[in-house]
Amino acid sequence: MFPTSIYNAITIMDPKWFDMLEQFKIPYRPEIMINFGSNSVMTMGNAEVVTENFLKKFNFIFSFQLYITEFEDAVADIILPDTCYLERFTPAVSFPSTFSHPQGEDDWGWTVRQPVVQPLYERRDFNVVMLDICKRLGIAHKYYKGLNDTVPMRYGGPMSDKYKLKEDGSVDHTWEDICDRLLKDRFGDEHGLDYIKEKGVFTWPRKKEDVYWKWFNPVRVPVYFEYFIDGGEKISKLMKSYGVGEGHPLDLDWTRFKALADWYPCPSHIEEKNPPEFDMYTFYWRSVIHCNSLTQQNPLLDEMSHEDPYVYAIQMHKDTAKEKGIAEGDWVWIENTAGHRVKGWVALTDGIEPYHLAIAAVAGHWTDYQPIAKGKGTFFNDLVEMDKDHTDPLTLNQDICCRVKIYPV
Amino acid sequence: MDTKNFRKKALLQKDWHWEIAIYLFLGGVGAGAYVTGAISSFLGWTDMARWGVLVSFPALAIGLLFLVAHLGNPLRTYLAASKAGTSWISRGVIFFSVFMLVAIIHIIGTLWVELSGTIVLALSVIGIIFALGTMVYTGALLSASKGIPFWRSGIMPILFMFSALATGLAATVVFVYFFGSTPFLAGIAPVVALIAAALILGEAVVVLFFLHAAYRLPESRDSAVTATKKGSFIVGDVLLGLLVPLALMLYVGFGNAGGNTGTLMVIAGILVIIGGLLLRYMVLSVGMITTMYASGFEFKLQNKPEPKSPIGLVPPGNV
Amino acid sequence: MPGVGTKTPRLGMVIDLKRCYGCYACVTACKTENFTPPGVFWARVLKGETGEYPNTVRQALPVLCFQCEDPSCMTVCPTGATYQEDDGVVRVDRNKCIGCNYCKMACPYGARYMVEKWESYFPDGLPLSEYEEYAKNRWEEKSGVGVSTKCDFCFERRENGMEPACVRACPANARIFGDLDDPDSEPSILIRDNGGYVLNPEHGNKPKVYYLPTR
Repeated sequence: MFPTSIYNAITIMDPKWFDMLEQFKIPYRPEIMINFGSNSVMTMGNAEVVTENFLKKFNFIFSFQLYITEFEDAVADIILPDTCYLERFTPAVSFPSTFSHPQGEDDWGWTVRQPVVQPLYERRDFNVVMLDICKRLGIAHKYYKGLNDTVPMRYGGPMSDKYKLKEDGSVDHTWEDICDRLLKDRFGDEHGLDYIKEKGVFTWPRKKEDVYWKWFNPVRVPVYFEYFIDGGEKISKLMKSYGVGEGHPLDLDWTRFKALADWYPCPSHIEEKNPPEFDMYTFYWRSVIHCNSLTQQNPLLDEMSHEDPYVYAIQMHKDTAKEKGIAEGDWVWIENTAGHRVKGWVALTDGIEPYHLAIAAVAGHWTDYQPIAKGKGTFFNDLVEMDKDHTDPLTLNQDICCRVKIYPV
Repeated sequence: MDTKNFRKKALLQKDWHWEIAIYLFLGGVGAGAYVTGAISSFLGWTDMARWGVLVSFPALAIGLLFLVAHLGNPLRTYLAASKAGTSWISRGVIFFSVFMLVAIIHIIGTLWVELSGTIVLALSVIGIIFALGTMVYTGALLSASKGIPFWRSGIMPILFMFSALATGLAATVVFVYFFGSTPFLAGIAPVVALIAAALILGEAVVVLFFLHAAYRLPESRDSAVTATKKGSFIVGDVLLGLLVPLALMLYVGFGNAGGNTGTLMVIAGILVIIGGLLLRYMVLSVGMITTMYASGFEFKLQNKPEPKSPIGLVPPGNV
Repeated sequence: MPGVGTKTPRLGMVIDLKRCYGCYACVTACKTENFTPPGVFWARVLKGETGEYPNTVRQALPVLCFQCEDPSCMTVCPTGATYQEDDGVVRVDRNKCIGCNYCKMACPYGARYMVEKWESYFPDGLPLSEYEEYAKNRWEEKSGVGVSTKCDFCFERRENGMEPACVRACPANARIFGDLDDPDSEPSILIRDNGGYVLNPEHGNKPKVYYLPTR
């Protein structure tokens, strides 16, 4: 398993990333990619860079997907039709670590998505298919171990021995069984899948300590991040031992590993790196009706996007537009300093800073397999450059602030 | 494509289109022609009287077909007269039906059965009343629409009445020219031309007044501006439908057109008819949906406001 | 529950603009409850903007049929297909509607919709899935093609003792549904205490959906 997070831009930025594995003496090469309902061609950064430098390096890609996206269109070898969320069990809809939970003094609650209809066509739940594949390959016990290991990471703490999946292969766990064990482990013997099937939601009272937690937790907020210094030294030493020293293209800026938070301007904010005609900043905002790149193909949400004056448009301040000779509804190109450009139409507003452009959602799909989403909105991520300049060495996070110029089509 | 007003375009009503325009127009032509015919018969202008009445019924019938075709449920049309107390459609159905009945009896009387003078007189008087009702109805129908501020004007019935009389007279003149006895309008051509000119002038004044009133109201200003920017309206209706025929009719009326009298009047008549149709079409097509106001904000019920792309789909890079 | 009791209630709704953040949940709930085809929004959310930069404010306005006391759609309806229930909800008798669209022209709040032909949400050429078949049948059974349709405060849900779908779905509790005749009902109290107003009163339709100010 070689999970690639979307923040791992550094693995993508160099076309010869297999050489990078060589450099760090990693003994294996990822050959197969398994994709679950994500469209990394569009969701990571510049589509061409992601595809050419990264996705096309895999020998074999198979993908679980509800409908074919640009990812499947471009790189997938096999597409396995996945179920819709109304056709499968999802034991954890909102991870406590990722999603904020409702405030106030109402009860705590935990919902489990349940199938309300049988899957249409030949769709199958990817969880079930993965179990199936592992069983046929005879590696089911390893898969169970993987799940056992994931639970503490995702659900806060390891499972009890009673409900842990059997890693010796003595039990044939089904997906429902796995959900049942997880729920019973977290919420008690009587609150398994059967309880949820009947009640739909599991709730328990919220204590005042849960609501006014600050009062009951005498915490100290660290001001100095001295562990960054130690960490930086360790990594630097490690990298040197692999021959990545000063001057090597993979070497990082070690001065940033320090105890005090500081601001380092990204390339978009360094004037020398931006010719004067690149006078606009563009940023991405998330419309309340769209989630990442998948929802534009939902016809209801697509229809509502037309109802909102800004979801499919590029928002621009009306005075700036006047200065540049751009009118409401004009089609424009937005081009970044690397020459990557996207097109869209302009909606004028007072609700944005002059010299800023706002683009919503991961829209601007182009595959023929998404007839509803195709050609609507603007593909912001294509302006996001994936290189070392735009990567923070401390967190390896991607810089998503873009300096652009705008001109009429 | 003009993308500048795409948000305004998204406000245009899209449910009553050319079928209704033709219906309103033909209703007006039929009513106007009947009034022309009936009054001509009082004046003893036999050709005008005959063709005015003959034109009326077919115009109304064809118009009605367009109306029924536009309905979602044409088979239930018979229900449409149920609420004459409040609905202008119901009132219109009654006006239209009585008027069509009178017109067909009058036509039968003209063509096949000899009717006594009293009956014809009674028919004419009833017919004129219901013809005027029909004309007013075509305008009042629109002016009762609260959802479209541009139509909500008390001037609308007057406008459509003038247009109906002008187009009806014009249609009668055209038919007399092609099918009537020769010589064309012997002796009365200048008088008819002057009546036509007066009606056209009246219509032009009402059009101006109507648009000005619409422009002065904030909620219908966009519609009025859109109308004045419509080529089909300015060239087709105002220039060719009103000003040119007005000049021609005045020339025939006051000047001495001599041998060209018939030709000029027919040209003017045809232009007036086309102008009348374009006027109805303009009024319908620039109707914009009303705006809502809440807490100092303005909200518009737009329908898919999105400009069309001048270039096709451009997939990024090499993907 | 409104709609249950000895006296016939006068049903109405309050929409609190302070609470609404324009998420379109009401629109989705309405669409999934009533299976309205593309382009038909019995519940709708409009977006507005006012003020000069940097003091610009944006606001969402959820609209639906306001079930006016003096509905102009009913006035102009030539067949009597549009009628008012005892509880004040304006409905359409699909067996009487001739589909003239006059009600749509007469409604100053854009609450009327007519579909001339049922259309799928998915592009042409694809066979309908069983759910789309179901949606089509439900629409044709309940509302129909070639007749005017409108929001009826979720008539079927109310018959079963439930609130309208949009009210149920609102995550911010911006919609409050109840009896306007009862001075102690939640909507009555809100209208009285928080300055509830109706949209565009100049039309004289006397809407029964009230709004609370944005701030």
